[in-house]
Amino acid sequence: MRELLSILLTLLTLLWGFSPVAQAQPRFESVEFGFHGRYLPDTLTPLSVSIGNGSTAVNAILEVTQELKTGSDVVERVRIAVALPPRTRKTLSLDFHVRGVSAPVRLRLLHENGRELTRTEIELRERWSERPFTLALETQEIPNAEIYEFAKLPKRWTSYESLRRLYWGRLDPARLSEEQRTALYQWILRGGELVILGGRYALEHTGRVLPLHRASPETPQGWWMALSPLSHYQIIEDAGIVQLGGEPRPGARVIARDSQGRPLWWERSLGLGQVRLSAIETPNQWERLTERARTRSDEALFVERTLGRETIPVPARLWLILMMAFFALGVAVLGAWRLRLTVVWTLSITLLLWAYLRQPDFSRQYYSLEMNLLWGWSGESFALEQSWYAIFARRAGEQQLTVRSDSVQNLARSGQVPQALSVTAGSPQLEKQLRFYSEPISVRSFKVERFSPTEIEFFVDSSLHPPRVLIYNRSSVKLEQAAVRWRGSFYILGEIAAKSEKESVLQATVTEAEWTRNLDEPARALWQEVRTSLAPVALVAWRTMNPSLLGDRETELRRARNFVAIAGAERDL
Amino acid sequence: MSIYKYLQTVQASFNESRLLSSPSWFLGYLVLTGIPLLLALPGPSRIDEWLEPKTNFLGVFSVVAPLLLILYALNMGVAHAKSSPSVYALAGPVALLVLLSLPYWTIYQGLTVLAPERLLFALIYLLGQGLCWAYGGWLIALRWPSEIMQFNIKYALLAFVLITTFFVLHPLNPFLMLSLWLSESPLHGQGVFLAVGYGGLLIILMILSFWISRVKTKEPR
Repeated sequence: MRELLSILLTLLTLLWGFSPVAQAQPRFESVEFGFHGRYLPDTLTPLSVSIGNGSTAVNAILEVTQELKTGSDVVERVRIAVALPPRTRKTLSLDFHVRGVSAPVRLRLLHENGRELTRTEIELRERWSERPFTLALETQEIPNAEIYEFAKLPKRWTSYESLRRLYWGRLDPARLSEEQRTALYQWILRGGELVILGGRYALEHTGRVLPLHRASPETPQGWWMALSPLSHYQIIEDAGIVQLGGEPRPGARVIARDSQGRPLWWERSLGLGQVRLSAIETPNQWERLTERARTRSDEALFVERTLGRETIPVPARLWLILMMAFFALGVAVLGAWRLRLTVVWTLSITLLLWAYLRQPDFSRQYYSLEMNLLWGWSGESFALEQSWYAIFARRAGEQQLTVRSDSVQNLARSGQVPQALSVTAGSPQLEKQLRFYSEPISVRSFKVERFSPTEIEFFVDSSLHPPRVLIYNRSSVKLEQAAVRWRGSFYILGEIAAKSEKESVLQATVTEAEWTRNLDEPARALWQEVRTSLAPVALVAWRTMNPSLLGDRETELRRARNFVAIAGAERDL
Repeated sequence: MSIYKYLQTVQASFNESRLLSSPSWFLGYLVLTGIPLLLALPGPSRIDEWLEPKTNFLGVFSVVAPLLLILYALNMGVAHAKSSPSVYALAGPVALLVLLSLPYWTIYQGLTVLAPERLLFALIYLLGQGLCWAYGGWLIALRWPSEIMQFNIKYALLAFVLITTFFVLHPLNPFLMLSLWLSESPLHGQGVFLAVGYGGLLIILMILSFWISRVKTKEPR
């Protein structure tokens, strides 16, 4: 009887194992993390998750969290809704801000009703990198660079945040997907650095060179033209050595030459980043490649220096102190004399304080300040929108805000761990909901970034006297207090209407000092931060836009500053 | 009894009590309560001054103010028993304590943007707590004439009640009840908690009043 029971149980177990019900539960099939499984702490790290679903359709939520113990629990959380059709495998890729090096990153797949379907963990110990990554594609050994498979290159620019430099070897751009090309292009615009190795490798690239026109990452040729420091390539073969030559495009420059005076390195600024090109495939003058990287602590300092100069209405401390002292004095004097007068005195002071503190300026629970900076580059396909938010809360409480962004950065002062933040990505992932807790009388700050199509461009024709400027404003917002910086001087242009073109003569000139004198303190601080990264020929302006933080709260006061910094070009109009 | 007559009774009770007749007693309460509030007053209006996490002195005030009120009420009860006026007249000094703290609570409300009705209910609860402790102090003074015993008993009782109500009968803990009123927490679903809190205080007050009246009738005249 016992044997029969055990056989029956075994059979039932086997049946359960092979039954569709047992295999139905969605599960994580593979998880890829970082670059070669490694990551740089305190940056966005690419994460690719394959989820298999053996049963009916499931609407699920992928939740990625990291819990840090730093006195109080700090949780970084990202949630993405995912629809899993029956009997399919779905790969989701996202970027997760890895904070510490000890706490694991947890992945959970939740049913839309909150029930956990499956979970896994990514151990982070001994997988972190001390410095940003340098990767090399389709090339031989390069000092301090890791060879990386181009097919694994992420498809979002945000995934490249931990990347310092990318070497491009014998690789045809057509072998990359359009998303990968766009991501790389945007990464460079945002401040990345691409080093293209020429020489024999250039034989793979030169077929892609087209006459210079508006470069676009949509096609491999357009993408290549958008990057290249040369407008025309020339292959020189000398004693078995293949060397690249050619015509530098406007704005590109030679940074090193060989013993015969031939260019060895070209450099071109592209947005906030750079593209370098070497004439041979194995250059030895690596020291010519200078470092330029912006760190996260700089971001916190940026908030401090610019948004930090903004003010919020607070009750006058001196007035309150005087009222408190006056009140106590009155109680001391009147209390010894008449009780009724003490009561009247107390009520009078209370009413006075009530009337003062009920002013509309002081009665908001939240003050949301934002500083938006639009970086544009005339002739490029994309503009970068960066926004810094400071949310001052008078009361403790859970807050929810919606932003449109590619990346969200939770900021804290240097050396401090930011407080918990939960980001829920909508569909499409551009719209994100931020959930966070505010301590009373405190500020939470964030930075969000996204790319958008270029809408504002301008060109200076210096061949004319006086020179002329042509501005295209295809955006739906007018530009105010516009000025062009050209050859060290500022030319005031005034207002540029939305969806318009404006041609002006560059005549009314002011110095930079005169121009900045008209700005208030936060605007001047922003200008000081921006001016070093700005191209020599640049258009600067302000836009009046509604604050981009979504949400409808009467208890909140919002204020936004929108600064536009467009790099221009000189050409015949 | 008209309010005017009631105030006269209160004033009489003040005058009869050696401890209460001095305004420095109330001034002490005002100064001690005012210190955390002074520290919590917002100074800078620039955002960068707030980026660094700061000690939340408003939170400190919301703990210190009720604690001091309870301590003062307890000692008032003890001091009042010596002059032995009507037990109801004790409500006056306790109410005066709450009233004197009103400007401070108004500043607190203004800085935290707390809903005024929440503050009102919090102060009513605080008044109830103050009365309970004042009557408790009265009973202690009547039961234990020795000042050393009074000192030991009243603080031991205070510590016992405050600690115990952190674990059982939460609504009777002044800090837990006030944290509900003074926070952002929603009130729906808290009906039972509030009913037990306010109802419990009322019952305790009635029991204490009854007890005091019994003790007083037994006292040799």
